[in-house]
Amino acid sequence: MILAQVTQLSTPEEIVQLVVSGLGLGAIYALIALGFVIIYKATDVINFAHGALMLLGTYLVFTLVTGQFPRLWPISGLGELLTFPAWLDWWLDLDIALRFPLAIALAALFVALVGILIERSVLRKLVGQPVFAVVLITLGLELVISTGVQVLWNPQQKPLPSPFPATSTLSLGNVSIQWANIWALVAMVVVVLLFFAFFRYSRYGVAMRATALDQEAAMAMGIKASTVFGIAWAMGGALAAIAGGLYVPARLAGFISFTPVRFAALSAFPAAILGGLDSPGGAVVGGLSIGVAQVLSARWLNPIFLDLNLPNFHLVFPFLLMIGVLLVRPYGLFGTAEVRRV
Amino acid sequence: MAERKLRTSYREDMALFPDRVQKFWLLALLAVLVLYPFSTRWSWVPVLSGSREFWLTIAVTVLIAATGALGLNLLSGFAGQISLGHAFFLGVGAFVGATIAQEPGVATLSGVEFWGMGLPWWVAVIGGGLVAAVIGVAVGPAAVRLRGLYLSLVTLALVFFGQFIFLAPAVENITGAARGRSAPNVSLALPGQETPFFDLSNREELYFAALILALVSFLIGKNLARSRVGRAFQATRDRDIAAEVIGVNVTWAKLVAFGISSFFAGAAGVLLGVFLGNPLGSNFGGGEGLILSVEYVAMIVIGGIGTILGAALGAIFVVGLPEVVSYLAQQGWLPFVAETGSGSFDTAAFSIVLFGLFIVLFLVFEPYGLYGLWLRARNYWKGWPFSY
Repeated sequence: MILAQVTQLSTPEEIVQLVVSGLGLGAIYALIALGFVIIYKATDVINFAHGALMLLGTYLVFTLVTGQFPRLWPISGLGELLTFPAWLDWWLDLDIALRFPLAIALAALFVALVGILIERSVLRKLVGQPVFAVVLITLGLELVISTGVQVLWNPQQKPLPSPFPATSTLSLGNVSIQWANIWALVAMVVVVLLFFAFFRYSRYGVAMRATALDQEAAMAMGIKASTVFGIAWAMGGALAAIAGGLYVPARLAGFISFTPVRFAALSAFPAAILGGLDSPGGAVVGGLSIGVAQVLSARWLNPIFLDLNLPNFHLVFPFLLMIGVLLVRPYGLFGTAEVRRV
Repeated sequence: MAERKLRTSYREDMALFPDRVQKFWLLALLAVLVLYPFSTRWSWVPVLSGSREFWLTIAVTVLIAATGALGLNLLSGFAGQISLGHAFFLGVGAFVGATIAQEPGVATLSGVEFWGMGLPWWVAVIGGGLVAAVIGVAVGPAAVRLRGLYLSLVTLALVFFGQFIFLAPAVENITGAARGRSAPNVSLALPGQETPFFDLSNREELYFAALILALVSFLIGKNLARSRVGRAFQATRDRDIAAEVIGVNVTWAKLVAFGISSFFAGAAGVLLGVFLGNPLGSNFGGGEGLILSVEYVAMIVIGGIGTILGAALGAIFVVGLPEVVSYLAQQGWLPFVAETGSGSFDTAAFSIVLFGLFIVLFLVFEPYGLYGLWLRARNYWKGWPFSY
């Protein structure tokens, strides 16, 4: 039945178009999932505050690109946006093609610092506590940070200019592909290669892998676990900010709005789970496949379910996929099975 | 203060109400709870602020929330299964309960006729609970396969399924799709009678329904916690392999925990639907659903994880906090909080920040929550003025 739909509804060009669009979404999911996985692998914490960090990163990118920043004082004027002072005009005169990536980089740096701050101030105190407590702490942080963002930047939809607006497409014959999706994919590949090179060659990357493998042995060899935890949270924060900056032009047609960004990270959970929570490579594979699956299911499965009066099936399809995979492989596709002792 | 009696037998250790002092205070509490709605009619009872109906509304919300939180505490606090999908079960209860209680063929909204069976409220509460419990047990296989963190993510998926199912036109005769459905008021009148023993307003009838449900649930909860089932839950929570080795059927324990927790959530959801009057699918799924789930998690964390009393304390705290905030804002003590509904930093946003902060602070400094603070205070005053 599905195959009939495919041949009936889609030309090969459309399939290519859908797959590339799915890969663009998947690239963003992969970045988010990689952030989860790095934090989980290093510190055994599932970071429910990841969506909030992504939100913070996205709005920082907004501030840096448009030159509008929230009023911090006096507090009663929260939600009002001020413009950059005159001596920063040179920044706004930069070409958007340069300003946008720089803004993402600066936002990533800032959110990385926030990540370190969270690790230092809250999670450090909870080392050795049951996972339940740690998960709930991150949920609490999610509420605090995302409400903070909502208050500071006021949740109304605002345009976020980017070098690749929604209308600019690459046309190859009959296939037209949004540039935003292509750039999201390219950015993901570059970032992932950088991260994997870091894990492979850098001193701290090796230290992180050693700590993930066996924390006690690593500490006995002179690796500071606290440094490793800090680096992991910084990386998670940076990845969240990068994903947020790419998400708005690629998925929200260049309009930044509060709720979709906040829940994008939750939609990326299936990606992290599918690949296995402790496998960075799995996160990339999971992210890309969930992205493609979501876009294709929106095209092919939604009409079937719409006939049954069940709209928006593509929003739950990744979760169904995740549950299906988990029932067969409880630790995801590439995750390591946990050895459990009494 | 009377010193607690030394327990010398298993029977004494297992007693529901261990000593006379406790029995006395519980009876006193019961009397206060029963008389509470009438106090809104007695002009000599002082009112702190707001109208008397306002205080009745708060009490109804607390009772419903306490029942739901008790369910989550049995699942998360006792059996150790982290669930972020509690809002989904509340939603199932709300819609199923409304369907059972509604008179057939009367309620319509924009051309959609809502199904109804016209049965009494307690059938609706039990029915809503049972349907939620069946769905909860159906989630069970995932719980049996998965542990800890993976499970919390699967239950998170329930919130998104809630958004998908509750808002789907396919079930609009039950949920009313995007516009929501009507939930009929609770009627406490015995069959064949027009009114109950007293002349009660709708809110007061709902209060007594919620009180009965809460009392029964806490009795059941207390019984479960101190009996074989509760001990099986705790063994599963503490280390499931060890529990299996000493003969606890872990699969069974997890399924039962999910079933019971969903039952309480569903039953509380039925009354929550009545309280809302017009429950919307979006109240229980998606973004709002997640926040509702987190509120319930906050209740058990702030009240005290793995304690029966904690669920009630947490419900009081979580329901009361926004009201306290808006009271303080009205008095002009929170100059940085804007008026409600102005879209910026209003009392709702401020209370959510406070929830988050309280979850973090309690987990870092007092993992047993309000119940832990209560124990500390009690133990301090027990020996006062001596330190021990």
